[in-house]
Amino acid sequence: MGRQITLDEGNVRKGLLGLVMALVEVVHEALKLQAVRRMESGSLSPEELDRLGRTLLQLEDEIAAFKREEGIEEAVASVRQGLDDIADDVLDTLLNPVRWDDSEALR
Amino acid sequence: MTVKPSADAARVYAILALIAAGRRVDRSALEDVCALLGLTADPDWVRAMLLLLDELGGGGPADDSAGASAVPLHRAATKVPEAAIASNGPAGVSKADGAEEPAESPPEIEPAFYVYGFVEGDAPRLDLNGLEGKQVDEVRVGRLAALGHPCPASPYASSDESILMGWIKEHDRVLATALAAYEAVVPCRFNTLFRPDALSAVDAVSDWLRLHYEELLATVRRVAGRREYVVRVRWDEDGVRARLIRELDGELHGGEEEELSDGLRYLHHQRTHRDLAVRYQAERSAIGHRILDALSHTVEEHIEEGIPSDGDEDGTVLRCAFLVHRDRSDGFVQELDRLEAVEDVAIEVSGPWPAYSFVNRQGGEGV
Repeated sequence: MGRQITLDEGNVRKGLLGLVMALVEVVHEALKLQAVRRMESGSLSPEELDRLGRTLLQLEDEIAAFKREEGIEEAVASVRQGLDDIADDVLDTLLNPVRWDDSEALR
Repeated sequence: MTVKPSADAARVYAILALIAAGRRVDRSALEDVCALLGLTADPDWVRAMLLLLDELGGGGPADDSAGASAVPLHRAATKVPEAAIASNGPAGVSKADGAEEPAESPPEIEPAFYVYGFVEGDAPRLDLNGLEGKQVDEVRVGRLAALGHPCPASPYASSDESILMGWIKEHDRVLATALAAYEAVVPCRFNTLFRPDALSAVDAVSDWLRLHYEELLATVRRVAGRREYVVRVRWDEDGVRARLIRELDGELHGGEEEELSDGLRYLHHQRTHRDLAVRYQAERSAIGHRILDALSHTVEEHIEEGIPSDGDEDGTVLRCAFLVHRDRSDGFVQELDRLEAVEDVAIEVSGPWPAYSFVNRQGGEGV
């Protein structure tokens, strides 16, 4: 300790926004899946479905606009890729205990 | 990810409220969505989220540790190269990938022994130099021999990647020569050393050979006359996806899409893409199986490498190491050519290599 850590407020804000928006996107995708399931189950009327679809679409446009305006498109993609990588690693270890020994250097 | 009612509902709504507040999405429309999906709102969470949004909107940093954690989430997922160190009784076998390996052994009173691999034979058949021009010797026990030479106590490490690659190529060259001379080589990876505490290095190697004689002999015979090929199969990912979307649209909607209202068309589109992911995975898995089946006649063993669930950027559908007997090598390569044409894929193959990937599974190596 004793080192000066300079915080770039802009970057901190972007980082936090990126994290939050990545979550929002994941939630939005879950809602879309849920809505499709509702559609397939036949429990909603066409008019209700249309309302559902239009609002989700509007949300999707808003998320895209927000990311663009805040300049966090890359940050969000990066967080989501990180989440995907972690998930893949876990699955890979569960499914494939004899792991490929990475000898790319030798090839 | 399934959205469970009640437990996640409050959080879901709160996160959506973040977007709605100050944005142009009608809050009541969001409440409508939640009602239609069977979710309910939690006013406390909403209030907390709105406060947070105000903070962000004001431009002041919220919690600096939270900001720092946003980026490392991606870095945490980067694979760390493995540097495994194991000790096997009196003879310590240590292995590093040559990156940074601190030498913890005492100063060079006892030099270590560098091992390229193990062979079976009656008498030495090699006359060549290896790393740093050192003569490649043998340490024999019975029918087995370790190929290598004395070396400094620390593994070959360098921060200069071109030097490192040069050494690795040297290591490979020695093994390739050995493969031609002996036909059966159990290869060691670059930087496999015997680094003993008390015995002389050569004695340590002999002792190790004696200790693991049976299993090492079995491994050597298992790979005798067999080589490793590394294969990567790629397809035109965009083309495949486009075709699947066409197929799905045809199946799901027939042609009714023109008459759909905006909201309904959006939901149908979402359904197609949900099914696309499933179908793409299925096709990829199917082609992988077909290729492995076709190759099974010429191949003795294979090890598949996992591919990320949504694919990698190059459209890879299969990545495998194959153990092929020398006599079937031609047939193997011909089959790859045929598959390339028939399945409309691009196949990259490297080899033949000594059976690097196929020897570590049965303790022939003490790593």
